[in-house]
Amino acid sequence: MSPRRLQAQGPQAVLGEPDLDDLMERFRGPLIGLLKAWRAAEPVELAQDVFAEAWISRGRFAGDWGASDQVGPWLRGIAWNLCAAAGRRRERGGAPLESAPEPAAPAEPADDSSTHLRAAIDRLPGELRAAVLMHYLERTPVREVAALLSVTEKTIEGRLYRARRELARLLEADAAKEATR
Amino acid sequence: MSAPETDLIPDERIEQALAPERPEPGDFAAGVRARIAERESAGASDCPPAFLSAPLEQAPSSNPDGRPLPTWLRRAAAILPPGVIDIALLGKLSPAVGGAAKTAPAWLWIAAPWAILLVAAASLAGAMRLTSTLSAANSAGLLRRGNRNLATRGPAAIFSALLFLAPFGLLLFAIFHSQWDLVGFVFLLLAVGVAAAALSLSRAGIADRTTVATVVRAGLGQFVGIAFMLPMMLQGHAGPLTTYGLPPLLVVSLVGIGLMGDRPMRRRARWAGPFMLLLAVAFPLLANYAIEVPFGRDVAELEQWVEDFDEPTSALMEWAALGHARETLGPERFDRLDTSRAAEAIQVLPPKRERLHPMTALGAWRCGLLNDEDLIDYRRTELLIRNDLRDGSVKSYLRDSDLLELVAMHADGSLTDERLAVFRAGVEDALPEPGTFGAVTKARIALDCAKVLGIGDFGERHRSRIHAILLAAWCSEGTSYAVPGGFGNIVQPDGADAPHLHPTTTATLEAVETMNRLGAPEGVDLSQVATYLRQQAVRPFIQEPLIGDVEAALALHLMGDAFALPGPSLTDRLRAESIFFAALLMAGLSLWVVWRAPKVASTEEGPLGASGRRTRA
Repeated sequence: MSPRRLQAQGPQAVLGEPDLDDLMERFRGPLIGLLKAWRAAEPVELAQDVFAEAWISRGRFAGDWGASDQVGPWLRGIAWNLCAAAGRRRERGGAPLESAPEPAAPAEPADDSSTHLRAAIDRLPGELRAAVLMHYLERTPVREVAALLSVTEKTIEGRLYRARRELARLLEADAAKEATR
Repeated sequence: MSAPETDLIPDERIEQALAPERPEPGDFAAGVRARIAERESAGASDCPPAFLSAPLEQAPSSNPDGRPLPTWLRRAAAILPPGVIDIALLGKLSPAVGGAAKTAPAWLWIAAPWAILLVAAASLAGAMRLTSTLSAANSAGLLRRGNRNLATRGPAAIFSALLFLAPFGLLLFAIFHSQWDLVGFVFLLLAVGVAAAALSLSRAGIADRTTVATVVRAGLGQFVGIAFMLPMMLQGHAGPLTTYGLPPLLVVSLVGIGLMGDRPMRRRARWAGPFMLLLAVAFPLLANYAIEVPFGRDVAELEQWVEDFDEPTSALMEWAALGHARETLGPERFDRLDTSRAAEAIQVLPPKRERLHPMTALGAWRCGLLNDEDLIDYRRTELLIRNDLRDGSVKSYLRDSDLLELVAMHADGSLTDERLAVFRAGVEDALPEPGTFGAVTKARIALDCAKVLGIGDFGERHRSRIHAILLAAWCSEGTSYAVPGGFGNIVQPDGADAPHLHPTTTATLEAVETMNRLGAPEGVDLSQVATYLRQQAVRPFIQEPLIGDVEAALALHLMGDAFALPGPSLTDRLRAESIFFAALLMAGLSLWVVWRAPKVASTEEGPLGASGRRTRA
């Protein structure tokens, strides 16, 4: 790994030395965002399952722990399977399929504007919704988001730009509809 | 409601909108550690979704240098698809087994390399597809330049070598130890293992459904190659390609369905479907020589063979079989047949009759195409008379020429009473010792000679001796090219190898004819003889039967008349249809694996789909 890459990934990224805290720090936000984009029922709990599973089976990861573009797809594979398995369990158990309300208590009371914006995010196309949720949930660097989706950073930046523009258009349309009532 | 937005939503507003959903890092980490502790205490036994789960004690603690532990999954990723390996194997094997296929027609050797190239092309296409898909997905970095050694070094390289050598060793084992069923079973197990590896790779997020479909298609193509090409090269009949009732094209269709069935489930590789369909069609056409159907179960097929007989007189085995046909079909049935084409072939010869081989002459005489006068002329011109017969004695064993000689001498009156007495005494001593070279054929000739010499009770008096000869010539164990049950003459190879039994349809036909006269000896299982003959009595799907096929069919027909054979057993049928079951298994396995693999990775929609409902794979 080049010094430049090590520097870009922070001091925790050391080849061959898995670090759970570092792993969570780098991928917690985008992973929860990805699970939200997948409309998983309990994304935070599922993300905890993913990190636990990844840590338990860390001996089977043959790549570089410091390279996000290698760890990301691996985490995404685990998340995919756990999410699919959870979906199967819910189907068998007859539980509701739609996302459950978030259990986390709000840090501060959400105003009306934020509520509308949050609803607009859910109406975004899939790839734009995923980019927004993964990046803005914890303001995660674009590099980790791109690594988790196996796309380039430029692609994520483009999606974020289009998402912000689309959100503005949606909110404007909502306001116009509100005004005509 | 806030004011309408005009351009872009500020970053801070989005972060603020998502802030209520942001987990507290400390609580999140505590939750993860609690789950890990719970899994460790439970031994990870109740965690069904853990596709890569392993107890923590198996984790890198056993690998103190920090090198990732090798796993079968990542080794498989480094060496898939296996079709490439085994096609290379087939290419290496073909010259090695080429010596066994000396009787193959020239066109076969032209077609076979092309068929192998087709499989190789399909496998290479699969490999390229796999590589490009993995590269595009940037999955786990296993195929990246920097990690290739990581994936293949050390134990992985040994594993790869074993996987490369395993089919090669299996085929050699099958050829030299005649364990085709066992080897076929192991092949199927390997196929199941490859399918499981492909499925695991896909579920690990390393390969998507398209990649899995490519891999299993390559595996199916490999199956087609092995099932159709190898027996064709070996020219044997012990391969699993004989069918009783199911048309061979059903097998081809099954393979085609396996190759094509995944098409509706996938979204990519549109070119692959037609290409594989072409492969599925081209293979049976090129390898039709290996697809065999029963021959002679209907006696009309044998009658048609007699009426169509126009072989040159140099085709010794064919003329000998024609001679046997009159006895096996019965004189009444045989004499009603139109043998004008065979008669025309034998009539070409008179000016050069000296070149007529005794085997051809004997066959023609047995089926009535040469009469006694012809034999007298033949004897006078250039029958290869043995000195001892010319001298009026029988010193050792008898041959075809001796029988013809005796017939000719009997016809022209030169068989005086004195000579007759000498010959009769000689035939009494002409029976070979059991287990000696050519004993079955010699005993059969001795019986015929005794009949010509008017020794009516020869067979009765020597029944036990002849039965001992037959018993010693019966192959109760199979060979690399035949199941147990055939009769063989002792083969005396050159060099230091010990003589061994070599079952042939010719010897078996002669043995069946002998048993038809004297009964079957104790210890010979007639049902096994019938099984052997049923496996041999086949013909290429779109070709005329070979002489071995005809001999087996004639013997089977005679056995049915003589011993009222029961029909084929369930084991016979299962064995004969094994290619069908194998194709069914392979096609079903391929479809199942593609069905279970996650669909083409949609990182945005996820496994639950856009609606949040689980996407069925």
